[in-house]
Amino acid sequence: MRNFFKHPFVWSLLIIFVLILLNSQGWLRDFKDIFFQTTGPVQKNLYQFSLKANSFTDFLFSIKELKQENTNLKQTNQELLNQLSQLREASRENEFLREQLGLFEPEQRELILAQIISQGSSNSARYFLIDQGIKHGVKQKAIVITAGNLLVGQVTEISDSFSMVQLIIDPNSRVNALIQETTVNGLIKGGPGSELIFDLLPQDQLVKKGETVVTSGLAGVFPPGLLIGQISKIISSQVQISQVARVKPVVDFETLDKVFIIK
Amino acid sequence: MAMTMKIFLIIIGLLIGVILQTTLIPFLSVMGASPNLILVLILILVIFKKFEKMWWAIVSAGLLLDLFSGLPFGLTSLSLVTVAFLIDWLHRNVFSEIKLWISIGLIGSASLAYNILLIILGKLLSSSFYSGTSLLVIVIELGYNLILGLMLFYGAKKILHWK
Repeated sequence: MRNFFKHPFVWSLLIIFVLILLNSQGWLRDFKDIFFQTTGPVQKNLYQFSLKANSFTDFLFSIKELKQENTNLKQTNQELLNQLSQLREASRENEFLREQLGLFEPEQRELILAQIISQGSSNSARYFLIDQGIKHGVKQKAIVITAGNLLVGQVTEISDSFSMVQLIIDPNSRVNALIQETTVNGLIKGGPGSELIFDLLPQDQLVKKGETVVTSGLAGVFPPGLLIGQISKIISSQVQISQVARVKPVVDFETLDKVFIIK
Repeated sequence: MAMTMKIFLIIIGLLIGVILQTTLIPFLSVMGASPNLILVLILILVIFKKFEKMWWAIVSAGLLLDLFSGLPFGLTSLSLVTVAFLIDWLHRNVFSEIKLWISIGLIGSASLAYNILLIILGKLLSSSFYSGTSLLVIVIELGYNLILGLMLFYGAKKILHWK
């Protein structure tokens, strides 16, 4: 029995269990902060270097497709300009009606800019470590977006100067969402690779490829109207209670280097 | 003096490994799977040195990975320590020599065991935990780890295999 407790494997397990206990009480927070502060600058620079190297190699591999992509983008640009002029008109009309009805302006969001320092170390989870924490005003479960109101994820772990962000593509992430065109509600989950799964879509509703998915604001965790992605494939079966679709996120998580945290 | 230097080099090597694992390696990802540098480094250490001598390095590396993983705290270190112990036992009791093909076989088995342990222990540590790791991700990671193992084997043989 005495030899059993002398074995390094038992010692290792004991140390890990003690640390799990300490972490659950929040007593490792300062240690984590000191560690991130020590390694942070190196990680930040290395991460930036990796991003640049990655985009350079992507560029080299996509030179042949650039011409076609340019033509597509020009076409999309024209369509968007047309939509923009219609939206400007609608916005003016909206403003006028608000004034007439005496309604308040929607509240402006207060944002904190953060830089991504590193990614999660496991293939089983998708996380970012960012350089903003409690002392910068970040709160637990704060929502993280990127330019253009695109949903990135949620703060799940926080220390004085750093935060861990669970991405929407993480297998354990859950976001209440709806299809913008039809207001059909469902649940967005992290899927394989960088795809999302849109689950719990009612069987009697028509879901089309290319439709836009945004946060619904149900459950009050995520604010409504944040852009998530576009439906890329419908996996529907009459046997199941609900429909399931695949969603391509609008955020390219591979090229992201800065995000905003909603205060 | 030489021993202290080797311990220092191992600590620095693991720290650099953890930093690389969270900054550079995610960009090598294929279908959501990237190589597990720390697992391969730990396995190489266990193959060349005994678990009994290296347990502190394994626990430290696991805990450092836990800080960055986003998974329930302790899950990575528990899986890493268990796999390292099993591989050490297998290596000492079944294969007595340090040969390339034995090491590569052990790294392959350990990669599979590590991912299975992550799923099982994840469920035990947190009932709501869901591992999104598909079979394809495990297979790609296995391939990556074998290539890494091949690359690190000869380097480690020179540095770690002293008499």
